[in-house]
Amino acid sequence: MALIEVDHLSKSYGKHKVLEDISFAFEGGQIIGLLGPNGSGKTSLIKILVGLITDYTGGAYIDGHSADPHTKAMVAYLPEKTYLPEWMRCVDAIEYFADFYLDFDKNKAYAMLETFALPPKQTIKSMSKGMQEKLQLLLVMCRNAKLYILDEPLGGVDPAARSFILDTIMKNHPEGSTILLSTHLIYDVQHIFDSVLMIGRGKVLVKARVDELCQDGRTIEDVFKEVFHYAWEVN
Amino acid sequence: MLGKLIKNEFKSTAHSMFGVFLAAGITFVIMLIVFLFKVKSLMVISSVVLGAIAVAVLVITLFSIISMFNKSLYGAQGYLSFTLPVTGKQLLAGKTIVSLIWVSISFLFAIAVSVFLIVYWVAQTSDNIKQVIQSIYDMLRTMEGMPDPQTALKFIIVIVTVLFIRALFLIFKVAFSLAVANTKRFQSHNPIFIAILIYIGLFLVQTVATVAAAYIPVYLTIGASGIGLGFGESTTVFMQIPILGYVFEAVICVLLYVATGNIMTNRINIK
Repeated sequence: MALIEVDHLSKSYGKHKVLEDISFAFEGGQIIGLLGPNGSGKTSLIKILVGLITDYTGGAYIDGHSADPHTKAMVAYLPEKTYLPEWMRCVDAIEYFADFYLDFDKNKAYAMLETFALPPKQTIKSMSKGMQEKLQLLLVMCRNAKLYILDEPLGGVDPAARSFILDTIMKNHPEGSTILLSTHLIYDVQHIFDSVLMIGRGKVLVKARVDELCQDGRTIEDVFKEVFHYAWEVN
Repeated sequence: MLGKLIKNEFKSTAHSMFGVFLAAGITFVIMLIVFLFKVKSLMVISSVVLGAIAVAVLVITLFSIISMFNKSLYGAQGYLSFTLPVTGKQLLAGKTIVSLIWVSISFLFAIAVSVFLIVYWVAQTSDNIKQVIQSIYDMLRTMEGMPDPQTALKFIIVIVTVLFIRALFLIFKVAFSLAVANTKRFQSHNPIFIAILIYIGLFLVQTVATVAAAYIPVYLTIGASGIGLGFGESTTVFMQIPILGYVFEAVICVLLYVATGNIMTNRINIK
């Protein structure tokens, strides 16, 4: 059974269709790049998978389930937004995650607080956006999850921070786990992907393994430019 | 999981409630000092402040409940709440139980402050406080239809149950209004404005039902002969509570809980 399966999925905002009858499936144990320009429906697709959007047609399944407590227990989700309550301190956030996620490694989280230079007793309210994002990344990567869904983790950060984030993701995800990482900044991350899914104008434009896609010497970025240049032209 | 939700909700709301209870504690200590050192000029001011804090506790409790449902579910924190491995009904139950705890604490605090202020002023103006309290007790005891202590206990249980239903109804009205306001149908409008409209609608339904229920004279009667159901009004009993309105509210509470839980599970889109 596929770990992620999307079956004739459609989602629209008013008259604007962001996902139009898309279907695909991915086996577990790989790093999947969810690629597409801004506004291509990547976040909507992710929000459907994690259960934050419920009004869609078709099916979106993780481990054979639509978003429910079973899927939420196995998915570590990093949204684009900062979402922790302002009153929380780092230690409160760690205790919170340890309470709800059985796969959360509390010792690792406390160790990573030091590595990330995050003061344990500092409140979220008094943290910079960068610190909040670091803390959220820490919380997500301290779970031993089956599936990591990371929505634009590299968006809006400088190249040094991008490298730090990528390192953290690659060093901390358990062996055999799956990562679905959405981005429009392909150059920095293309080397980590096993498979890619390119979506644009509501459609799946490419779904392939990287070794197949790049066998003629092209990079993922080359394919991306080609595909989206074509997609914009025909639309 | 429900226990964990309750623990974390309580921690979260305690932050907004802590300040006002701290202020009450400080005022209470000042009042005791004023009493012990007979500083008459501060007596009135400190009493007014404590009374105002009691009112503030009730108001802040209400706003904390609204915030607990609105901000932590439908704001950015919704990304956290709705991706926890729990059902919508568990989320709702956790928030409801914590809301009930805070409502209870706030009401008990308001009652305690009222009693304290009465005793405080009696103590300031009378030489024998014990005698004053005894005379109030005697007056209550000789009132017509006053129940015996066992019935009085049952009466207290009935009152607590009625207050519980009222508080639950208030919480579910808030939860339901905010949930509906954050569904796809209304999301393009201002959710708070829509929630207020829905709340007013529920309030009107409640008012109509209460008025209609008053025409059916079924009362819970509490008197010297005990407690029981009665039909028609009586002037010889201690108290009569028109019971149908509360039965209606209890039924609506169940319906609102199921409806809100389902909306939270199947109809919410987090922006």
